[in-house]
Amino acid sequence: MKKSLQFIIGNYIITPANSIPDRFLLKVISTPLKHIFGILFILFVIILLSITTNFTSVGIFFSAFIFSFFYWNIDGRFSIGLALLSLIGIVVLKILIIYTDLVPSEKWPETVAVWAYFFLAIGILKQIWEHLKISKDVRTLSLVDGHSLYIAHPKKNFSESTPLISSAPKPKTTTRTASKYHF
Amino acid sequence: MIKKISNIHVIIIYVLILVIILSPTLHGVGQYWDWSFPYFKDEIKNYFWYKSFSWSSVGYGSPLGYNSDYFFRLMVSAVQIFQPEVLRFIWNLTLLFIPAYVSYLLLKKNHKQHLAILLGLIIVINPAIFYKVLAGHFNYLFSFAIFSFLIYYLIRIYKGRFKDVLIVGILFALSGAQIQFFIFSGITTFLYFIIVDSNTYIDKIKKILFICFTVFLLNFYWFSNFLISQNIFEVAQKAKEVSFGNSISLASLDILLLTFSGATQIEKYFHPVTLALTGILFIVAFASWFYNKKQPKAILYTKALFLTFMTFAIYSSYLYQIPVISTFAPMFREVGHLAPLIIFFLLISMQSIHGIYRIFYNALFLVLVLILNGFVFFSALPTFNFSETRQILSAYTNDQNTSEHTLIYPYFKPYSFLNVDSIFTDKGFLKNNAGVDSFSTFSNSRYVSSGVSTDEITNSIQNALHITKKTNFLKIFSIKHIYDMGTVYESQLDKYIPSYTYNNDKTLIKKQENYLKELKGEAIMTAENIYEIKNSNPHIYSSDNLISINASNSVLLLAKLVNSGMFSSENLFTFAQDLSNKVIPQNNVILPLFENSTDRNFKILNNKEFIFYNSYLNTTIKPGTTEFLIKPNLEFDFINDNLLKKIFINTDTQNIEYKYINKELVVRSKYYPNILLNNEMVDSGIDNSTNILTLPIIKGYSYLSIQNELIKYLKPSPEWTYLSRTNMSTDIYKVYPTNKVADHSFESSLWQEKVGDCNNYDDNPSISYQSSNVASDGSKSLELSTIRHTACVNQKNISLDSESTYVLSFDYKSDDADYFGYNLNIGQSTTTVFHEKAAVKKGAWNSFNTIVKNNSVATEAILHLYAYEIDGVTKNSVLYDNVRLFKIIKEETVEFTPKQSFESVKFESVTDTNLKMSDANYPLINQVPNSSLESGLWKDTVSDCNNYDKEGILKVDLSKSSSDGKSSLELSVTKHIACTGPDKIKVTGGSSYIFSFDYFSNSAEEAGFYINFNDLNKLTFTERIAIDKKSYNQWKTYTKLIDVPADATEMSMLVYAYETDGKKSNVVNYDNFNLIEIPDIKSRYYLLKESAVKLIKPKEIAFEVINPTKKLIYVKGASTSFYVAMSESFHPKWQLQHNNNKVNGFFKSWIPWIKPDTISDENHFKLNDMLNGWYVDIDKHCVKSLLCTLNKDGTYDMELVAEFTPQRWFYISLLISGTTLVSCIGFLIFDVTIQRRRRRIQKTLNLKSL
Repeated sequence: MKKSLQFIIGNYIITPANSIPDRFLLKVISTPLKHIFGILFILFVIILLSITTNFTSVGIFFSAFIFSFFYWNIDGRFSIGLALLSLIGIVVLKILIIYTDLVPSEKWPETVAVWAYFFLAIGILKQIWEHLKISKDVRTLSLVDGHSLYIAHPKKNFSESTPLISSAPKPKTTTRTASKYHF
Repeated sequence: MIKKISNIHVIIIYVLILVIILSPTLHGVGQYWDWSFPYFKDEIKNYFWYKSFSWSSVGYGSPLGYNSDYFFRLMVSAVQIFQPEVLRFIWNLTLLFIPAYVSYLLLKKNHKQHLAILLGLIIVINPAIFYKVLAGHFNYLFSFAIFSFLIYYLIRIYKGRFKDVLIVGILFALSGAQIQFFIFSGITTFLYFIIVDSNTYIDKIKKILFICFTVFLLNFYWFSNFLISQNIFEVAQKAKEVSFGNSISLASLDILLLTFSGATQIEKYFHPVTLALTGILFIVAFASWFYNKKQPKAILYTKALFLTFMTFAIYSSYLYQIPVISTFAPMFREVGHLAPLIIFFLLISMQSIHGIYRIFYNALFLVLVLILNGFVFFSALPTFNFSETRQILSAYTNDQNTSEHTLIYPYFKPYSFLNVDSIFTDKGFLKNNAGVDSFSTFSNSRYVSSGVSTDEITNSIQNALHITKKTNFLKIFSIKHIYDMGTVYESQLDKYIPSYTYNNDKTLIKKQENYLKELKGEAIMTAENIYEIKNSNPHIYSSDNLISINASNSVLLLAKLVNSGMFSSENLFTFAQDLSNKVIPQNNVILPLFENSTDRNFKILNNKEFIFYNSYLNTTIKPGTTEFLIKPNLEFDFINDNLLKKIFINTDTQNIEYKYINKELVVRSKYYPNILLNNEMVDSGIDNSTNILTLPIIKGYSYLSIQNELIKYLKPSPEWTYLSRTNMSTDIYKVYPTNKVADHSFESSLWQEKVGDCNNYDDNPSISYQSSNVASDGSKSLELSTIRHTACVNQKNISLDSESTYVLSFDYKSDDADYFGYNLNIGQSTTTVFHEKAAVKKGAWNSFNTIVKNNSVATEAILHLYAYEIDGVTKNSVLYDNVRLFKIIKEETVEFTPKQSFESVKFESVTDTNLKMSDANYPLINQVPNSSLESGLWKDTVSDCNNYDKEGILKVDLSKSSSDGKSSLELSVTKHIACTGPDKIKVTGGSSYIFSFDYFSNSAEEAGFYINFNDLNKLTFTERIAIDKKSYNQWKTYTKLIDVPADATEMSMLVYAYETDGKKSNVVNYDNFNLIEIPDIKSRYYLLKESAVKLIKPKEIAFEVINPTKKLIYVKGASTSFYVAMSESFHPKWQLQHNNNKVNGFFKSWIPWIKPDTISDENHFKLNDMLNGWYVDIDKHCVKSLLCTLNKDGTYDMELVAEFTPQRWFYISLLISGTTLVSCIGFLIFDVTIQRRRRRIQKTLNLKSL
């Protein structure tokens, strides 16, 4: 199975050390095509949405965010983490509004609440998507090979799991693994 | 290490904690919000029965809607060994225990046991569940308990076996006791098969279909209501109306903070610290999602459910934009219903966490949250003592199963018990003790509903009785008793609805002492606080006289007609619009002259006449005259109809008049017909004047009246002079003879040696004054002129008495000024200032009067008179004369309420009868200044009525395009809302006005206006008028009939141009504004048309109530056709059948597939605006069809059945649902038995093999 690419954003941030043209160029040239296509597609989506729709900058951001999330297979918890930050942000903003004049508009917590909802929704949907995708793959493999599985961790790629399909049926292991996915 | 405790111990702990928390409710809880439960043990059965037929007999009855709680109510009513309060306590305890325990079972595998126990409790002891308990949402709590068990079953037990699918179907069906849970359970089950179930799609679909089929069969008993009798859209619409109106725009913030305070107002009950700590727990639950890498299926499933319900809560408003779905959206949009589910799914999807989160994920914190929330449950639930309440109410208990109705006073819920302390919020809302009338709801007797919707209050029986103060008309609604429950209840309706919904008359809502004793009519007190109405019509009776009223449906009109004695209570009444598609001979027809004259069917003609359209009349109002010309419509020449016999004139509207007779001022009320028949005023020949006040006059003093702010000097006249109208409170003042203003008529001086400059803003005035020979009093007046600045004169040292009231009056005249004005400063060091700058009525001399109250000890005043600059270029002058300042003292208040009745005058129509209405006290003058914008703009600058970012692009100008005159108002806007309007307009409180204007646009999508009065409630009318692109470049006219509040004196008006997208320019032109006071014409004049047909009612009629949906009627001695009346709410499915073998027999008495001999639908009509009436045609049924028994005297006897036919379908569907339920339970019992037997055999085999 093809190994999936890990997108590490630090690899694409230009630091003073990258200022030497050849090193910078090297970095650009060595970027896998999947990432280049993804970045270009996101830029295209951003431009397209801003021209053709009435989406606000927040709407465009979340559209790009959803695409990135699924394209680079980012952990759903990342989005949930952002939701958590937003929730804490709401509380902080509410406190600031009550006790200080630092927040110019009372609409800010409401705006952040909308972000929190979107982050939560994206995170949960991503996790469900991962789960369904794996279930489907497992079912397909199970049907093809007629063998049992004992690895199906949603966070790991199949290629990294060893062994994915045992050469011989292992009913006991299968039972144990399956129960892992219930309370 | 803490040793684990068994489930039995957990159950005991839960029960104990819940008992402690709910213990204050043991003696009774409710009388708040939606709580409704019987007070008496013998009425517990009614908790089931009152809604267990297809027709509910509460109030005047209603067809059942989405009454999905049949089995739940059956369960509640089944146990009648406890007093109601104990039974309810047990149920509340059970319904909180089930979700808590189920949650514990779900949580215990992911958490340490003690934390799981605490979290399980928090799932039912939190603000969202508190709101449901507080509000008495009993069905909801039941559904929530079943729903939580459904989740548990799916996650823990479900294995895809047949019995599993069956159990899921049963739980799904039972959870629908609160109808929204059909949606919730449906989503939950569907998502389970998507996310958790790992079988094939075909298998999943099969199971889903089977579950749906089971649910459908188990609920078929109420689905059939929709199929047969109810329009599901109507029911959904009703749900929409009763849902929270404002929660459609509920902020995401409120949802995400999980306090839901916006919709549920729980912040009134919870301390902010409790809410904050509970909120932190929820954030910790979110944190656990982030913290844990492991994503078990079940956790994902509950997260998905959390997200789904959260989305419903936040974005349900979008459902309103989807056709069809929008109708049902209210059923699952209410945030109060979603909140407990969101918290439930959030907490059961919580996973164990460590690290920094442990600060808030430990027993200490959870116990704290639990104690704080539990304390609110313990202390804030609306408790009261049922036992005491039973004692109080026992005086009213009526064991008779009577079909006649009882009216309760005070009239409207929500009620507070007087023996229970009420707790109020800062804003005056009740936090307990304000609820429905459970006493009447579950009683064995029938009551008139106290739950009238706000838009029906003014058309309710209660309001009609309140206005007419006479009980006779109650007979036509079969009301036998009135219970004065003012010693038990206090109505709190006024705290929950705006006052205009009850005509600002709080006496309709609140108890008045001796109110019932002072009612006129045939009501007698038979016991303390119980009044009986003699000769009230029975539940079912017959009549020979049907009167059709060709007017808007109005209970008040019926009350007036019956109370005035024009018609007896044995007559039947119906409204013409209820007779469409009916074939009902009517004995009398009542035609109102103006009843339909609403804003929808009158318009302004090009020649500035207003024309009212009505089915048989056109009425023209010509401004500047005092006449309404009434002409028949072409198709309906009713005036020359020789069957017209009388004109009924409602005498409610009377003139208050005064006259000086000998040495007395006499004030009287007199009704004038104001109808001219062939140019002669009709006269009933009755002297109907009533003296209200006789005031001895003192020589040298004069008198004036003040009604609202309208001041009138009561000048002597040989004739009676119009003062005001009935229902308007007028004060009479004595006027002292000494005028405090010296040289008041400018005969000898102009007060000052030179003109003053009262606005010297640039030292360049152009002002002057002179004596003029044009005078309103004497031979001279003061002429003040200005081009620049404000010209003024003043008189100093006017001596006043301290703490006295004065009337300041003067005459003014101008042809070119826009404004005149005065200023009166009382006192020297501390001054009280009275000032007014008012628009000039151009042309003749006008009088200005105002009241000045010197509340200080000051005794000196300075009076200024002004002429104001227009534009710095144009000269304008104002003449002033006859300036008076008299001390006045209030003598009396004139108030008169007429006796709510009709006078009738004979009407002998001849060819070309000419009918007019005329009232000299209404000159039909347009009150809008500069109404056609011919004298320039109202305001030089445009106002911004939606200045949201201070970047408005708007403009006001005059346009040459006009519908009247030469110019019109042009409002332009690109961003924000452009608005402008004239100065405040004086209006007469309690009067009606025609309001109209023309508008035109070729770019805007909407025009609009705003009207606001200065009454106590600041009544406002505003409307956006859509402009169709097809009507671009055409002037359109908007008209509306406006009723001014009684306490209003001024009206503000604005017209608008609205922004579209901040980029496009919208221009709207307005012209030809009219605001014309018209006499009270609605519900005032009626014509009576008699029929040649005369019927005779049967000699005898008796009835027997079998059940709420079936009544037997025995008719004896019918010689002609007749009418049958039944006091159940009108419904087309009520059917009157002949009681013969077509409807009798073992099967035929309940199966729906029968063809009875019925009184046809076209003979079934709506009676008295709400009840059922039938016309029984003897010729058709007895002579031709031979369905009656012929007596020797030639009369007929017959047996009839009044039946609500959907009940037959209800029997069938209940049979299907019941059979399904019994089969399901039977199968499960069978399955359990088989399993046990198998296990026993297996055990035996195992033992043997050993």
